[in-house]
This record gives sequence, C-alpha cells and structure tokens, in this order.
Amino acid sequence: MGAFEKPDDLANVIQAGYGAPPPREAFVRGLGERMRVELRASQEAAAPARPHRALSVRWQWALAAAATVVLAAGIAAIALRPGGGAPPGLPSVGVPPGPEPEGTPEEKMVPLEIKLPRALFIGTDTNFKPSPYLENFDGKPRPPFLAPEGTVNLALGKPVTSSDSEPIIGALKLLTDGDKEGSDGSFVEFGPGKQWVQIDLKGPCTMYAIVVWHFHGEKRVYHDVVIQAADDPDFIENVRTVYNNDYDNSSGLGIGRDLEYVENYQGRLINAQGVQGRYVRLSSKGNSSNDQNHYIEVEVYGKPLAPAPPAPPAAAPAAAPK
Amino acid sequence: MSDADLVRAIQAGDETALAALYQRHLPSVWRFAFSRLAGNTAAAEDVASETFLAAVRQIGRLAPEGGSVGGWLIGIARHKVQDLRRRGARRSAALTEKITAAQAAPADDPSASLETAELRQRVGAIMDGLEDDERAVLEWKYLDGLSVREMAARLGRTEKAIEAALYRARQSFRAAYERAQRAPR
Repeated sequence: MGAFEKPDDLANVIQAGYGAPPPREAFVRGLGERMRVELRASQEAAAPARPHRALSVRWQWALAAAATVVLAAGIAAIALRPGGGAPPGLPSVGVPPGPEPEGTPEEKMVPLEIKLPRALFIGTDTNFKPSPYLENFDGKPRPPFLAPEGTVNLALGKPVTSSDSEPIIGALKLLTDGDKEGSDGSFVEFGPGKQWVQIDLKGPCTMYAIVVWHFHGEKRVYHDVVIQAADDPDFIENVRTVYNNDYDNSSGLGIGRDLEYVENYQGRLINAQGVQGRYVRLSSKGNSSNDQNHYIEVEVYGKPLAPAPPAPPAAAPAAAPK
Repeated sequence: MSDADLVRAIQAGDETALAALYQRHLPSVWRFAFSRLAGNTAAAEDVASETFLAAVRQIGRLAPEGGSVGGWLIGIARHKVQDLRRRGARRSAALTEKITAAQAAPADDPSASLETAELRQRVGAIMDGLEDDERAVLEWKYLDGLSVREMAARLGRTEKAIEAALYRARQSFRAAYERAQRAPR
C-alpha cells in the first residue's frame, strides 16, 4: 500500500514536514534594505574608478551636461526639419536640472589628508553576529575621499556642548583637540542611553565630510549613530540628517538607512555632500560593549561660506526735472 | 516577469527587480534554512541573510538563462548552513548544541513533538534531494498556493512544461518518501 492514498495526502505531508512560520517582518524588511545597499555598492564598484561619491557628482555633472547637448541637438534637428516640432512626450525646450553639486564643477577636487591615529587592534575577525544592519568589517584602508581644494577641518578647536553636562570621564574639549588616539586620556565618556555632542563651527559652512572616532581601542559598534547639521544650536532651523543608522527609530530621530559599523582607528568618514549649516550634532545610544557613549574626536571638513558681498551703494536718484 | 528577466534587470542596477526576486524566493530559502536548522529561527535568519547578501554580490556573474535561480539560491543557502555549523563547532559548542537541541524538539514550533520532528527531518531531507525545479514547483503548489500559470511565468516555461514538472516532482517525492518509510530507523 502506498503512502499517499488520498489526493490531499501529499499536500498534507509537505505542509506538515516542510512548512515554516513566516520570518519576522522586521527581519524581512531589514534584509531587503541591506540587499538594496549591497546592490548599490556592487554597481558602484563595477563602474569606472570613482574614489568616492564626491567625485561621482562631478561625473554626474559632466554626464548631465553631455546629455543636455545631445538632447538639445536632437530637439533642434527635429524642430528644424520641414513640418518639424517636438514629437509628443518630448519637451520642446530645456532639460530637467542636474543634481546639486557638492563643489562647483570648476573646483579642483583633491584627496582629503586625514591624519590617522595608531591602530589598537589587528585582524578582521569579530564576534558580532551577522546582521542585516551591520556592515561587514574588513579593516582595509578606505579609498581617498575627494573634496574641493582648500577644504579644511573646521571643527578643530571649536567649542563643544553635549546632552550630558558632566561627562563621566574626560572633558568636552577633547572632541576637537586633534588627538585621535584610543588610549586613556583621549576620550570622553558620557552616561548611558541616548546622548549627543554638538560642535559650533562659529559660522555657516559648507561641509564635505564628517569623520568621527568613537572609542576604537577594541572592536565595538556604537548604536543609533545619527549626525545632523543645522543653522541654530537648538536644531530647529534647517535641520538636515547626513547619517542615521538607527534602523528601528529607537532614538526617535527617524528610521535610518545607514548601516552600523565596527569602530577602528580610521574613524568613520561620512560624506556630507555639501550640506550647509553652522552646528553639527552627533547622537549615539550605547554600544555593543556597554551602555555608555564615547567620543575621541570629530572632524568636520568643509569651507566657511563666504560672507555675502556688501550691497552696492544705491544710485543717487535722478534730479527731478524742474 | 520570469526569474531570468529579473536577473537581467538586477544586473543593470534595478532595485525594484531585486525586491521582486527577493520577495519571490525568500519563502523558499527561508523554509530550506528553517528545515535544515530544525526550526531554529535565529540561525535560519542568519542563513537567509547571508544567502541573499552573497547572492546580490554574485549576481553580476550569474548567467540569467544558465539554470534555476531558486536552485542557485538554495545552493548558496546549503553552503551557508554548512558554514554556520562549522563556525559553531570552531568557535563554541553553543550553536551546535542549540541546533542539535532544536533538532530533537524544534524550539520555535509550539506544536513540536518527536513525531513532528521526525517528519520534518524526513521531508526536509527528501525536498533537499529533489531536483531544483521539482522542489520549487512542489513548494509553490502546496505551500505558496501558486497556479500553474504563475509558476510558468516565474520559470519562463509553458504551462504544459510545469504540469509535467509537477507530475515528475510528485512521483519523485512519493518514491523517496516510501523509501524512507521502509528504511530501518
């Protein structure tokens, strides 16, 4: 006698023996997002050598300009032929504007020179459980970051404030003193839970890159890292988020699409994409080793915004005819 | 869109196609991992994550018409299950113990019993031993409720070809199941 006498027997066996409860919704969503990030990374890696996104914008400008020329020539050819005119669906004039530049296309782009501290551990093996929210740690030197010539660290020596007015260890000025070593005496420790530090750049600036060193004496991951720029110290005016890896919005600043990462001596370089503002605020919410928050150094690479040129003197009103 | 169409679109950087392929094949990869790891949800999540991330990294080298995408994904998942077991054995016994314990009584399945665990083990082994397309059509038919037309669209084949594949798959499953029943325990 066979094992499957009734038509439904085979279905029942497969359902009982191979069915599974559905995966968690958060897992499915998170993995989908991580795959999207991976696809973009692999596409960028396969494209012609582009050291960093700042350079890609220059490419985008060049391509946009070339497309404009080609499209304009095409439209002109169509419009000039007998009985011509733009066919349906094609604009008769103009093209959509290109992306906002990080530096103007005329600016020379040069690699940022970032002085790195000593590495305090070797190897790439970590004990972190693979997660769709955690970036793979390879410990390799990062590619050069290109920024407009004349870009400097605007944060050096600038005043720092924080949500925790009395750090457990260290002083706030350590964040912008240029010392990035991971040893005792170089870092500031803030209390548990969500904490932020804020740097006043003392004037409106264009920012191209923000580099942050949390404690990098061991392989650890800081959670809910959010970096924002704003025009006012209370972060009300013109707030822009340049990095957010709070994937479940547990810090209340919105769901982030960036990945968590393992700290090391290179710090984390964030492409600020030419964001403008005077204040930079960095939040975090504990780390993989404990609930505290630690900062060693924050660098903000950019340029001060040129003050608006003085208005030309008003012309003297012409004398009224008598 | 067939799997091959989706692969071509993904290779061109289409994120929507990636989402569609993921949505289409996650149930199968998930069930495979869940079955091979005996109902250990955390370990199954690890395997499913690593499988799809590896697939995205490798998809540029995949020939869209070269074979079953589902089979390719299950092949990656199979390696990931082995990796997970090796890692568990090397780093600590904890993971291996967890999986072994789950094999005895699946921790995340409240209806688990020894009989169910045995059935899961047997059916999992049979499904794993089927041809890629046979396993896929059985899953789609009996677990995902897809119609023959939907399966044909996914695989880029005719409905007749799918019906024939379903027939072969049922025969293969029956034969393997009966062999397993006769085998000494």
